[in-house]
Amino acid sequence: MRVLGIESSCDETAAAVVEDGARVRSSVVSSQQRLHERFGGVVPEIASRAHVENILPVIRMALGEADVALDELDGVAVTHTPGLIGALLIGVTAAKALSWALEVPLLSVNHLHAHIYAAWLDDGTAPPRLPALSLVVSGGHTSLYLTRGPLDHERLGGTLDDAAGEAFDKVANILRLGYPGGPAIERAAAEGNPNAVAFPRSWLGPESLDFSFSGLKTAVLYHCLGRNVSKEDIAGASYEAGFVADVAAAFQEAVVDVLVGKTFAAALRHGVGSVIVGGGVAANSRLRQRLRARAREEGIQLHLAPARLCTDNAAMVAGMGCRLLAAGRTATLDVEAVP
Amino acid sequence: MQSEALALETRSPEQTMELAAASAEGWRLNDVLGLVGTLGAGKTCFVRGLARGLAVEDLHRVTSPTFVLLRAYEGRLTLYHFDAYRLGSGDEMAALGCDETFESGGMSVVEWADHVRECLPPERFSLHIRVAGATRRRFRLEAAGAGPQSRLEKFRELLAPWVCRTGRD
Repeated sequence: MRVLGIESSCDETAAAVVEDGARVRSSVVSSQQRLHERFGGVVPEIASRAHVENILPVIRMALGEADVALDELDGVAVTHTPGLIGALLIGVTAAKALSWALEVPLLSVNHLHAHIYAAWLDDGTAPPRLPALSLVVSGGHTSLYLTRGPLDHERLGGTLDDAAGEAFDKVANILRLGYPGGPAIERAAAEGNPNAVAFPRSWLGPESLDFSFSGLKTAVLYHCLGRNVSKEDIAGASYEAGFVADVAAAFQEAVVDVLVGKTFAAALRHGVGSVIVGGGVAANSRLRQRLRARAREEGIQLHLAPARLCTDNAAMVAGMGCRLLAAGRTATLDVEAVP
Repeated sequence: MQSEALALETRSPEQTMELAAASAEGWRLNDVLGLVGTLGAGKTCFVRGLARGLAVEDLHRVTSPTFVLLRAYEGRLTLYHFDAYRLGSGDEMAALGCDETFESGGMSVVEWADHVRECLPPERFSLHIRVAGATRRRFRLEAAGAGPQSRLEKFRELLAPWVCRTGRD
């Protein structure tokens, strides 16, 4: 079974061909990062226009690299939620057109579930032991799920305010480190002392599986510039490199503490066999290091996708599409993009 | 245009959510409320409270829309939650189709409204949030245009527990 996957929920236009839900035949990602760097974020108009320009070449490249012809596809899978509405629409529209023209089923995929599904893609490791505890952590999301099967995810908790990746971006902005914030903070933090500043960890009570990163972001702002500063004050600030390194390291450690702490608290509470971590922030090397150490300590299998499958990609969408197709859970042509 | 204002104060994020929830009864179809305040002022916190007051079912979905720019929640009326933090101009806000959304029969709240002021309708409410202490916040609810101004008294009643008596802030 061969499924073409399409992903356009945020700033990457991506297409991939996956066979039998595991074998990645091709995975092409065209990032708009350089376009967005100048603007300090994802600008919807640019994102939509670039998706329109990229989508057909990206699909063509994915088919070419997989050496699969259009008429050899058994289905077309697409991310239909959640994301930027104008961006989602482009992928969804392309997928519908292909599905209709090729007369193959359309599969609609939840972007967050697809990040978890990356654990089932063939990367030389065994598939996750079930049930699993899944953490999806990115610029737009920070959520925990109890995963009972590759298509079965029960949400246990999530952020009440900012996503972890958003906190990285906003703190990078406070520290004048540029966009995207994740890699910039990680680079700066490498030279810093994580214990230099005791930033707050928001646990929200011992039972809670929710997250809150807004207070941490505010604490960093107060530490750097004091209270009630304007966006202009932030834009005009300048710091010594040593200060930036220490604040970046201490901030990163606070985020990682909470992500690792809550994920494993949930894993132990639910007695799971494995922990799955996906999403762009899962590419952060300090987080990866701390997750590995904790998994070893607890004797729990850890599924940490390689960085190229943590960030947005279409292989995870195509893979999940294969499973949906096998389960007979196809979508109709009136499926909508849902922000 | 002269705008009327109401000064309010809360002492914790919980109180800010209570204030926002209490305001829910005062909002009507096609109202637009701009939120203005720095990072960490409590804009998303206010929207969470408002969503609770509007009986939004999926309260867990009410989080910062900085990345996705717009979220919609179904409650007693549909709540559209914009975030203009990453938008540099009104053009980008217009590209999101905000004009249609503002008039589509829900109510819209716009975080970082000062970034996209030119996109907001002349008849609107604005809530300015000022950090007055670690967890203390001062608010100014402003009404622009005759319609909103005539409704400010209603908000004064609904939000009585938090109204500042010490004059304007």
